[in-house]
Amino acid sequence: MSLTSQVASQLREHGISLSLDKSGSLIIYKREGGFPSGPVEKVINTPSLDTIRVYPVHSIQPEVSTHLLLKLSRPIVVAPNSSINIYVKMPISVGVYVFGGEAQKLVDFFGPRPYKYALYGTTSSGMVCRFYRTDVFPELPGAELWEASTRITVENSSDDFIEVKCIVFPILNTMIYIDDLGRAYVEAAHMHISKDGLGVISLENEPPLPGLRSCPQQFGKLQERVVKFFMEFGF
Amino acid sequence: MVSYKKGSLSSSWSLGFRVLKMDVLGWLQARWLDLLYVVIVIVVALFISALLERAIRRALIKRVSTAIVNNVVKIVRYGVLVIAIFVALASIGIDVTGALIAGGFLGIVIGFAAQASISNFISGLLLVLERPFKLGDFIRVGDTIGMVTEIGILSTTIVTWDGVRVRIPSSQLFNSDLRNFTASRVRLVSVEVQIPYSASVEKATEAVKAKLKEQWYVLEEPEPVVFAKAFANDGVVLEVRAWTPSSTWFTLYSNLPRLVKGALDEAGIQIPYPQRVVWFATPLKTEEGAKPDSPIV
Repeated sequence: MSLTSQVASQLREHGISLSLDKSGSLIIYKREGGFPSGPVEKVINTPSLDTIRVYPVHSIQPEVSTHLLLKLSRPIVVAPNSSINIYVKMPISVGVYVFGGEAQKLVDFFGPRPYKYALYGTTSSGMVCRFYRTDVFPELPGAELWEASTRITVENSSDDFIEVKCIVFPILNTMIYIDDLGRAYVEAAHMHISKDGLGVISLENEPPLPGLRSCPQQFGKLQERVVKFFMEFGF
Repeated sequence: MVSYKKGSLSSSWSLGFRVLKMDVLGWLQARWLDLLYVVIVIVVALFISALLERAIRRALIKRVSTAIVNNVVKIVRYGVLVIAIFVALASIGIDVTGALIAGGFLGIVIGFAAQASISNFISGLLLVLERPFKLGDFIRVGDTIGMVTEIGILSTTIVTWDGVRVRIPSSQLFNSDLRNFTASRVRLVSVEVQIPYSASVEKATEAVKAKLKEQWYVLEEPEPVVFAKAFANDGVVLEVRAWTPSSTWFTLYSNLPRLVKGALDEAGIQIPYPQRVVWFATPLKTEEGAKPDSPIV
């Protein structure tokens, strides 16, 4: 399990410890601390420790929500018939994968603190989303261990100024990338505000920077990739 | 004893058959166009029922169980066929009034005999159209609460919290006050707690809100609300309200009192016991040097 000493120390700071013990032909994975609450202990049938690797994964519990609501700490005002590139941070967790041939399996994932959720829309027909508060940056920010950064192009096709306070991102199987320093990035997105004021966010299927390496798909082929979301309850 | 000649009997039979054959052939020659019309109407009806069947299957297959879809399809198929046969026979001049009257009487008799079943059947069809719940939803019908495991035309089966399977007739479902706990994405859970009059309401409110915000299953937005609701005999009544995703409703429901108590304990605020201020008519005699909590002599 390839963890740099810097990452390992950051895990320790949050009271998280990981261990892999070889017992005969079996490997025992253990985690203490973190969220979802540890301890977690799993027996993995794999020939070597090298097949167990760590990658960034989306910080969600798919049974609760598959969307991320980014609350902008400073709302942006977009001029009529114009577009703007903004950069934001979003939460990520650490995912422990086991690889074998073409197959892969997410053995465990965890974050430093409890995930928070919020309701987007009305109580009867809204959507529960993973909640994260982010600042807006003029250029791609350097993300820390528990964060990824991305670019969102906000295009306002209406004839009015539009204030954007939040962005809802479909993050089930949205691509995550890493650079050579291990910093995480999420695929770029495009938010289009139509003439009638409807916001649509679409994933662009490309990294926010060239030359990044893609990470494994967290949910494999079991979950369909969602690439578009209609923000019918405002932004 | 009556005896018949073998030859005469067979000849009378063959004569009768010839007459019948002549009649049928004559009738067929005279009415072949009507017959063709009847056949065409039935074939068209079969075609229409096949189209309807396909449309119904497409419309319902993802909404209701396969058993219900099959039942609805059968009703539509036979209904279209019966109507087509009556229309065709009536249009070629065959009087179907008697059959209709007989069918009507039969319908009344069956209606009286199977009143409850028919009521359930119609209610079941209306429920299919209305769709107040789906498989896996938690509902409450009367005093029964549980998860819907089977939706039929005549009845719906739910499994209660304690694992008991309950079959509820469709008419009861349709006519009663039905609550669906999983239809909404989020649920509100609330609890009341008292704090002493000597405690700060603001401090208690902040402590409880902060504690709730730490929990992953308490929604950030809408955020938890704590407010002073009433003045009771023993203290100020606070109402604590928090929203949670429907999937984690029970987690919040079962933890909320514990979280509130924990937050108040951490803030050093005691939940008050029943208190009475007692006035004595004469001064009380106390022992010299007695401790404050010693019994009064």
